[in-house]
Amino acid sequence: MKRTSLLSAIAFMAITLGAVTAQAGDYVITLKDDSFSPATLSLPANQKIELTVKNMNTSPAEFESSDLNREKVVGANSEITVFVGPLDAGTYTYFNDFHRETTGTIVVK
Amino acid sequence: MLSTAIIIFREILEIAMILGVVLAATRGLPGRAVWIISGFGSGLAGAGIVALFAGAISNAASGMGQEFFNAIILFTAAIVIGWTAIWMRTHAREMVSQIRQVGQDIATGKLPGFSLSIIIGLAILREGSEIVLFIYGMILSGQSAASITIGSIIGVVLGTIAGTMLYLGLIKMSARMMLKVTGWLLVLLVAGLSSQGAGNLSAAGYFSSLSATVWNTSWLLSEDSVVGKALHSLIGYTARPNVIEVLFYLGTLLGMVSIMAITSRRKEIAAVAAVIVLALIAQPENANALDEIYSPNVEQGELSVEYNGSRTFDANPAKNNSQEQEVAFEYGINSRWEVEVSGGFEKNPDETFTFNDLELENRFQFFEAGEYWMDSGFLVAYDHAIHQGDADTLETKLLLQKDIGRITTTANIGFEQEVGVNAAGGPDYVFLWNTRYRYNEYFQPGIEIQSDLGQDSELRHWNDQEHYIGPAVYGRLFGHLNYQAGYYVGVSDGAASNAARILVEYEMHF
Repeated sequence: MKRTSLLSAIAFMAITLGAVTAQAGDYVITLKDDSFSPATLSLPANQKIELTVKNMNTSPAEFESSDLNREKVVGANSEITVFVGPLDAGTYTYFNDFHRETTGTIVVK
Repeated sequence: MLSTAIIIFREILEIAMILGVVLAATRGLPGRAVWIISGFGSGLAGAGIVALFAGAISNAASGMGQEFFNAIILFTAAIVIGWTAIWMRTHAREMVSQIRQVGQDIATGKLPGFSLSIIIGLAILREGSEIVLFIYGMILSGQSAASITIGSIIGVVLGTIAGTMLYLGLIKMSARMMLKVTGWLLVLLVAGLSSQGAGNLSAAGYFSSLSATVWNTSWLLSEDSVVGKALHSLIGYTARPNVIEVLFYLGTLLGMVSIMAITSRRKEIAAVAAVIVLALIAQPENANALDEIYSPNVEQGELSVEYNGSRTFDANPAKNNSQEQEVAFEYGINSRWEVEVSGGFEKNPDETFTFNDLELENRFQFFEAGEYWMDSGFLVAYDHAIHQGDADTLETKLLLQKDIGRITTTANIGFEQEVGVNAAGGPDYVFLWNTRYRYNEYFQPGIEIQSDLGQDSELRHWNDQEHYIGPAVYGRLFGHLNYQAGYYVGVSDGAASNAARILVEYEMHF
């Protein structure tokens, strides 16, 4: 098993090597009824961000974005943490996979 | 007298348990007393008639009459109960709120009321005919009428008490909880019935290639024990299931669950059917290096059914058309752990199917996606080979993924080791890599590398190994249908000239 332990050791080092601290607590997206607020959220570019997504509805939702490559379920009356970035400047859209008409935008500059 | 009591008790217990669950689940259904009584009556009458014609039924269909009769009863019961369970589930909200008018009640209650009497009738028919035959046999063997009668009464009383306790226990829960619990019990009941039906057909000679026993848990819980028999009638527990029984059980379970999750979205039902149909189309033969590439990230509450297939192309017939086909069911238990059960199979030249292996796979996500420089996770799977002479395998892989802007790179690194009686050789190492550009949700083109580095001495020589590289496309269509498709060129002597793979996965949420 020497080869596999070496492989796993290298992999683990590679993963934890880049543990950059994220900006926590400042960025919140709230889902209430059929809309996200703020409708457009501004984020700084080239930084890892810790995003909080709150679901104020009585039914579960899923925060999903192919632009950001994230999909995560938020239970009813709960909140989750989603890490995004570092992101290049631009516009990113996301939606509630359980109710696709509900969408939001993130603008990165 | 004691043996009569015990056997009658067990038969009555079986009926009482099924009735207890069904009655608790349909509580609140107005006017159901009529349906229950009519079901009871017709079941008893039917049991008597069946007992009279037992000999004739047995000898019908080249001696397989009993098996066919049982299979028909079981599948019918499964379909009727299953349909009722789905009906109850979709109307659960109305029933809990109890707003409807009495007149409306009866009108809309008619359909499930009718199925209720069929369910009860069938349950009594099955068990009742066994009881009648048993008593007839006891009389013939010279047991005294008194001893048989007393024994039967004891058995009936005890069985009814046990069944009533189950019913009362079930209805004591809050209406909402009870609907959920009885809902699940009904689903397991239907899966059990359907798998027993398949078992009967297997006994009648069908599915000969799928009749091998998959496991034996009689050391844990014997089917002859009281608990074992109770579990058998409630959820279809069997100590020595064969392949077709396991497949019917899992298939019915997931089929019921998927249908219950989908209210009126018929398009989605068609998509699931399409995925399964796809699995039946291709032309397989034997295993090769190509595999699905896994993301380390898990989605809680996701339930999906997946078809996975690959094949090779080569001028050399020994390396041509080496195939692998698989149908899998996956479920994200929580935000860190996903389980997958899959069956590997191949289609024979004569259009029959050979089931090769059954696999249980667990995928674990280590950290939050994006929390560290790279997303990581771990996969561990156990693959059980169905045929004698084939080895079981244990597989572990490190799963890594990194996003840089719209470019996502995924790598799976690991090994497979044969275990058990037919195991041979050391670990077989594999390395899979995919880099793709996430153009949009539907279309994500990229390059993929799939390498099987082999075992033991093969590890030192590139040309003994199988290395493939080629373009691959990933994406998601219609919001629920994920796909991965790749076409590769072999870049080592051990690999075939070309290879291709396709994966189609339909996902739902709970």
